[in-house]
Amino acid sequence: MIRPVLAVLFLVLLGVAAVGCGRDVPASEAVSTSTTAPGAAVAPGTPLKHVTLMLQWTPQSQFAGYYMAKEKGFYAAHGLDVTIIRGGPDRDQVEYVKAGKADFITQFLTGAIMYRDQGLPVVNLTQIVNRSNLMLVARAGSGISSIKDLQGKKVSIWGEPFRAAYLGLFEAMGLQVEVLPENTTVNLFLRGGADAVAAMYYNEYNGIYLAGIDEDQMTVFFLRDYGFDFPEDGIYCLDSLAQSDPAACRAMVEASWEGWRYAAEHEQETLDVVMARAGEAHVATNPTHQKWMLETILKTILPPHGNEWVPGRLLSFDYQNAVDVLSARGLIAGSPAPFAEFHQLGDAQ
Amino acid sequence: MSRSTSSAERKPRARRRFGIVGKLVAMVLVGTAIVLAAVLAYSYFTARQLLQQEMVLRVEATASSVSNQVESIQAAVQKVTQTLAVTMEVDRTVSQEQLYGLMEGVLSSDEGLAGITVAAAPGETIAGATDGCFSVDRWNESLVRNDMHASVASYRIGDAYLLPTVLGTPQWTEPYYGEGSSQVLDTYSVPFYLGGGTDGPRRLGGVVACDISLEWLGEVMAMLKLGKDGYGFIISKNGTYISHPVRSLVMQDTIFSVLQRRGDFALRAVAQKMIAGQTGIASFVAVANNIDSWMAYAPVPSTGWSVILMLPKREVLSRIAALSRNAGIAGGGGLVLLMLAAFFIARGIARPVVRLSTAAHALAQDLDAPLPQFKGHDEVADLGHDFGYMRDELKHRMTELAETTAIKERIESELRLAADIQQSLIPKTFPPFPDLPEVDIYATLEPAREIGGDFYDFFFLDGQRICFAIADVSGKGVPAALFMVATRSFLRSLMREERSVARALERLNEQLEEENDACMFVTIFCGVIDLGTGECVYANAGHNPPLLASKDGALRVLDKPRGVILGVQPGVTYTEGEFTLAVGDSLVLYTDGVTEAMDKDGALFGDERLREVASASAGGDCRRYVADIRAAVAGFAGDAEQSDDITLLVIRRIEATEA
Repeated sequence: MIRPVLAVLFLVLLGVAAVGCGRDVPASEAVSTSTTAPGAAVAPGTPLKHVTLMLQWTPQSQFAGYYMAKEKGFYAAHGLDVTIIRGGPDRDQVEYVKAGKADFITQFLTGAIMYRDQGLPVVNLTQIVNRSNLMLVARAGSGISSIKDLQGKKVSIWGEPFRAAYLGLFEAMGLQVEVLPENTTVNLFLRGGADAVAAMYYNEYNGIYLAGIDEDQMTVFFLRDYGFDFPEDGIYCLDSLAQSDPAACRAMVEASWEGWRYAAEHEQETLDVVMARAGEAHVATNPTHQKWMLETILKTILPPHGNEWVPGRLLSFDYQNAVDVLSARGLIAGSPAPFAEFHQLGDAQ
Repeated sequence: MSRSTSSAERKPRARRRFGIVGKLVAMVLVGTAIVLAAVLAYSYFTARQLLQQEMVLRVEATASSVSNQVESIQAAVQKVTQTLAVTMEVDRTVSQEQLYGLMEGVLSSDEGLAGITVAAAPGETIAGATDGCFSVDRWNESLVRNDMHASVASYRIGDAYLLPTVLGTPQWTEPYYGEGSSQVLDTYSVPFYLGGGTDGPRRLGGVVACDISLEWLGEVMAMLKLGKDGYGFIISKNGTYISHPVRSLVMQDTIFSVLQRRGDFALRAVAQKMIAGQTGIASFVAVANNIDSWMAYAPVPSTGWSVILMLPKREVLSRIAALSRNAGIAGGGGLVLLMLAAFFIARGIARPVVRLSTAAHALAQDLDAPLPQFKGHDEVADLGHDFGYMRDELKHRMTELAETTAIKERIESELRLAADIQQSLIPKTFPPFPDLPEVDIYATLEPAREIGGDFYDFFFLDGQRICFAIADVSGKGVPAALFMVATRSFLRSLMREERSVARALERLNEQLEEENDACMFVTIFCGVIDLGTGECVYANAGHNPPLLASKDGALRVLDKPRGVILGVQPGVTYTEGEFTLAVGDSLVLYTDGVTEAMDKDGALFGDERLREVASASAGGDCRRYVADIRAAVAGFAGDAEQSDDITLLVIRRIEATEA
């Protein structure tokens, strides 16, 4: 199933390469090859607008919706020729955006607010992940059974934009903890160097499980249970792009949501695509883990009962909550943008 | 010999489903097969258990050999790294150039090393540089120096720095992909410490980290002799595949993710034992070739890795499989031989039995049919001889029976003759005196089944007088018949000699009593009637009293005088009675066979019924009179069998004009 689609895409990309990077290609060529695109938003013959979307991390199921939107031709159907650029520890989104190498980015809400404070005036086009996946994992039997037990313990935590929520939590709980760094692994925790470790429910938590630690051998604390339920991934672009080409922005938002909905309904096909992207980027991962990640993150993207939140919508309450925590930590110096300015497009269609 | 009637009714012989031969062979076969299977199964499982124990030991030995090889290579790395760390602690004056030279010297002397990094702890100075970070990497056969001073912060959050500095001990990192290559690397990282003397308090100075390529692991594992489909692999402390024949798993999957993908949750506990550094064995379908295998595991202590060997069960068990197969073939051959032996023995027994059975069947038709001859002295031969004996006895008994039957038939015919003779002594021609119009006589004697002792008689004493008698001899059969003949003969002659009836009976009694050894007796009513006058003189020796019936039906019972029975005691006297038989009157004489005739309920005909019919039927001729009484008796008895002779004698005087 995936192979013909990939072949078609390969041909399309060849076409792009032939006319030169950044040049528009006629929409008819792309649309005619993407039979799965529902309700094309642009008339045949309209040239595709080439844009770039930079993700905030290396390929994994966290970005499944965008891969599927491109794979299934949803972007093309909305008049966009999207090049997806992977993120990662070796790439700085701010640099890419400033250099014009990235038109759209995905980013944590806290990360985007900090970008604005660093002088990168990005605006939220749509909120993809509407609930927090952040958590702390400790070993059961290590004497940590409630959050208060973290008092005086070594806790391994990533840097920003994740750290603020954790430090905010510790402060709110009146906890003094020894904060250790956390890198892309949880080995420090697994080897006993840290008593607890920051984790994404869809990622590190399962990584620990797949390193042989059973669920009942872990004590977990979800930040969302302690008032630090920050929305996470959203799609952002520079304020200037949002002003100058709102159609492209809306196309990006709508096609991306189509991609997520497709991913939710076609798990195996999506996992195949994710694994292919991860392989191309030499990311060490496996389908078991990516399946968990897809299933878990989807529960914070599309409301499981349909009414917990409106997909795409960022609430001003959540925005203010994140701003307050970042301000309290001194992570943003200037006055944050009004909510209406920050969140411009909103709901998914 | 006559064909017996039963043989015609005999059912045809049912066809045998399982003869003795089949049953015996089947029982021997099943019994032996069960024993054989049990022995084979026991030896198979015992051998399998021994083999499995041996295999665990072998795997442990192999795993520890792999472990030793890994450790010896790693020990060299550890030593070099620790030496460098000590140098960094001790020699604080080393220059940047000297440090690079030192690192390059180490890399040159050990081809297995991929690179060395020395990084300072925050704020510390190494090789003259605060927050210094220097590395030399092997890059396409050449060594490349790298001053990573600018990126020391990101180096410090990597595992190579974080793990040893936080844990305070040298650490092997989890294996990882080298940057820009598909080479799997592992880093041994040693923290070094400064101070403790004049140089201020003892504190973390930084780390020395040596990277080694793990490519050689695959070669070590490939050299393992594990049979055709066996293989080995290594997992890290986190369960990540470091070496595996399936390259796509290496550095991508953990053993836990593979188990989860296969839905094999039971083995997760086994995998946890592996990464916990335990030794053991488990059953598992190999990932690389889907062959049901034994999975044996043993730890590599220095790194926390686990060496796992996959041994296909069928290869492990092929030796005992061959053993079991040979044992099975031998056992099966033995089974066939046993079956043949059982067959021949059973047939040896069954064959004569079948012959005997056939002969017995023929014997039932014809006792002269030949019986099979058996040699030897076994049970079957005995049975054959017994059969012959039985046949001979049967023939003998049948001959005897034929003779006995002939004798019996002769006796019966003689008895019939005797009965005929007896009957012939009784006058049966009626009317007896056709020239005599004054008297009408009719009599009947119906013997019961056996020959009996009743008789009646009448004869002329002279031209005017007739003597008549009716008698009943005790008992039945020939003795009674002979006694009756004697009684009749004596009576005839005595009545001719004596003028008195009583006197004749007295003499008859003497005669009979004299030679009556059998203690028989006889009752008799005897009279003499004058045909001219009708006067009648009579005497009764214990007999049923006759009836005197007038023609209008009035009855007189001649019950007196009545004397005792004849032949029992000597010197008996009798008294005579007299009456006159008027013209038209009838004298009815009978034996107890009439009054004691029984119906089927055992009730007697009796005197009353006799008198009723005698009265009702009076007045006619004697033949009809007798017939009426006889019919009344027969009507009363119905279907009941006649138990005694029924004898009736009627005498009637008639007028001459009547005739």
